Amino acid sequence: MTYHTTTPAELPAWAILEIARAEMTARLLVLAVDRPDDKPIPVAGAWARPFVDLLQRITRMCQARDLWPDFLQRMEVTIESIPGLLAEMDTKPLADAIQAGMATAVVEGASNALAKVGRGKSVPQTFAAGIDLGPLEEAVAKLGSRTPVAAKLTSAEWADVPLALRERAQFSANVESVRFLSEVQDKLRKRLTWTREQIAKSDTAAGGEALVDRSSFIADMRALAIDEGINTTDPAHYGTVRDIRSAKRLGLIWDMQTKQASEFARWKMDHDPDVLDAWPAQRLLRVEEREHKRDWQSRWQAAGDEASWMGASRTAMVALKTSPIWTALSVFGTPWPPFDWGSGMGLEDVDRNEAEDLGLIAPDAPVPDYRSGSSPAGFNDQLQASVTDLADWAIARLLSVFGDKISLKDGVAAWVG
Amino acid sequence: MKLRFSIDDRLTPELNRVIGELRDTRPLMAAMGKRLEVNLRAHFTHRDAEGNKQGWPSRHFWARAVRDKTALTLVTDSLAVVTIDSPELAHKITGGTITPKRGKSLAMPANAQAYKLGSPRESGRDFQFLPLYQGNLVGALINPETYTIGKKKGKADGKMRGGEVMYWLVRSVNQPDDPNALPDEASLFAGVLQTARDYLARMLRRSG
Repeated sequence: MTYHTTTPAELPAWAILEIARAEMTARLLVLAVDRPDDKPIPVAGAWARPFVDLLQRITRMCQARDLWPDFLQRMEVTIESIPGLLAEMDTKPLADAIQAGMATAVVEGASNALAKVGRGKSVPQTFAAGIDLGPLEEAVAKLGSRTPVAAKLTSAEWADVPLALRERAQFSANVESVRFLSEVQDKLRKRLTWTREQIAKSDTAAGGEALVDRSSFIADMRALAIDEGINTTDPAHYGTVRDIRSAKRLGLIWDMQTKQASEFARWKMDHDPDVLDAWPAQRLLRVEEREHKRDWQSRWQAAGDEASWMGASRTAMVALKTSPIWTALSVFGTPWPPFDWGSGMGLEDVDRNEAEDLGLIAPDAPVPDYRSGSSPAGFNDQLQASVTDLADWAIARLLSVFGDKISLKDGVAAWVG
Repeated sequence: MKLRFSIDDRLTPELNRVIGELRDTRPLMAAMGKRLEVNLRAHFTHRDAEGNKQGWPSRHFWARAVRDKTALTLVTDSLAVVTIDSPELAHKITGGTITPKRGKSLAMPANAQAYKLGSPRESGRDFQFLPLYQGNLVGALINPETYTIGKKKGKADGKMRGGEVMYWLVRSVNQPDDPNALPDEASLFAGVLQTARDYLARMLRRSG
């Protein structure tokens, strides 16, 4: 076999450089290239494919150079094809790759900075999110804390009962039947716990197990009210919300109590320190249309004045979740919806970026706890305050209403169940 | 019913690497979990705004029975869970046959007024029963104010009856599953990546 070779001294400098570079790259790829089946090397970005293929070709040529008399000519041709390769390339993927590389560099810098925080414990390797369909435990607990209190008090009179006691009572205006209120409590508990009722087979019922829903609650409680002879209004108001046997009244009880329970559950988690830090505020907005709308803009202004605008926006109905404006806004004195009877208003969470843009909180600052009724600690304070230093006539009234369900000690009324 | 989704797949490799440097990942999971809740509630608000197929005045099922019952309930250093307290939604996701329990048949509203009243038992009103017994159809509940009995040769003919149908009574209803009961995964996790980035940027600033 005869070889025609050109000595290295006869090669142009750029060719020597390119061959050397190819050789070096080939050595880096040697483990991947040295494949008997000649499978292509996997690459992360499709834009790099032509280059990798070229490097593979050059590497093979280098490895087989002793077999090719015209090795150097072949190499020269291959290297001369590089500019054409570049001209044919779709450079957008390359630009994207460069951008990603720059982002990687930023993130690596972030990684180095975060590493200063220290690796205190082993961190999980996988993260997951879930959706569960089932009871809200906090809602169940909230309802469970209530005790039926039968009393001939109007809605207005119940509004005057201290919040701490009102929050623990299962009541309905002018309803004096403990049996009725106990059944309300039991039906709502079944709904919130997804407990099925056993329906007996009869002439009018197919029978079986069924969940309690709004329709069955209204029908069953009406039947019980009639059976108990409960009458909460005069004939002129039959069928209205004053009438405990009406769908309007019973539907209102269902809607209000189920919503209060679920919104309480949201409110509790909203005040988890980690959740609150990332989503510190909320917006009041209409979620259901109403034929007759209340003037919530005016109400917001009035509540804001009462709360001294702490953590609340004057121009948008947005406030930090800890702002006292929420309890000031509610006719019930609670910081979670509904804020009035049959209200179509609801809440939308606002993240930290938006809260900072609205000027509600300083950048990266912790969410202030105004110790108002809107935060759990403040709400408990408010409950305690509502039963402290009561006037004698108020105490007498409470005792007549609640009897042995409350105790009075050192000027403080407490619920004993 | 429990649904689980991986979050790692929705973050960039760079973010996953940075998260691996964190000493405490719970705050990040809290931020992303809340984003999940926000997206779900937004989806249900959108569904509520669609109204019903018949164009009747809305009873706000998606807002009251689903959106209002959706809440973030669990946050750990590796898991965030949103709970939806809605048996009705569970049935919409799975579909299935509904059969009567509290009555002998199921009452399907025939017009907007009946729809607004709710079920016949819930309405508290009396209706006139018109038997039909044709396949799945048991009969109809007639508005008593419009109920008529036909006459033949001057005598009441029990076979000729009518009036305004308020409810159709059926033996069972097959409810197909609703593919849009929950948002698609893209909508469900919309913004989660940005939420993670915002959180990490904030941590960097706080660490000085």
